[in-house]
Amino acid sequence: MKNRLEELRAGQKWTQQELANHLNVSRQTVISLEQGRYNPSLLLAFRIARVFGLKIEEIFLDEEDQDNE
Amino acid sequence: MNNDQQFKNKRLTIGYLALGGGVILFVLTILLKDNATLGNYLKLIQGIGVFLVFWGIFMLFQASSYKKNPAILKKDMVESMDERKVWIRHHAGNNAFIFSAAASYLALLIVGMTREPIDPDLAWWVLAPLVSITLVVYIANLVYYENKY
Repeated sequence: MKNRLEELRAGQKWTQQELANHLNVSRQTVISLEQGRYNPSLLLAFRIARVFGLKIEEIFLDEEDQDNE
Repeated sequence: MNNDQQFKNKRLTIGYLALGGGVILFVLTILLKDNATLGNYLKLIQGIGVFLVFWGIFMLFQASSYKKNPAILKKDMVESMDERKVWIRHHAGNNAFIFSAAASYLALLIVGMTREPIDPDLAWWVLAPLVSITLVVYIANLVYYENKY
């Protein structure tokens, strides 16, 4: 699953550690999320959406959906 | 009581329990050193005692470092609840368990098929690596999943 986490973080001028602090996760988790290696739980996805003030689907992009379009 | 205090208190409790338990085991082995029936098991119990003492000291040391540096407390709290790390630990543990169950079953199968009684020394040399290799499998899985996810 692709996501816009890196782009959104850069928009806020946050470091990975700062975003990790906002989300209450480790910096490695932020790195893995940004690289698309790890898909977050629904709970964490909601937390990420809340931090950026966006909807989940505006941050996480379903690749299957994109293929169908 | 807030989460920080709860986390610190948990470390303190585990630390004191491990230290106390370790000292009790260690003293017990000294008191029972002439007991012939326990024999070599005393060394094993003593080893567990020493391990518990060191583990307890480590936990207490960690708890005291939280007081001096709250940033370490925050980092450890996040690390312990971080969903990716928890997921990795669960998967590594699951794989280690499957390995351990399969290896134990294989060992039992071999013992069941042998006609001669098993030499206790041989049994020890088979069972001891089985325990150590399970730990190695767990650590290897942790490293693998850390790199993959």
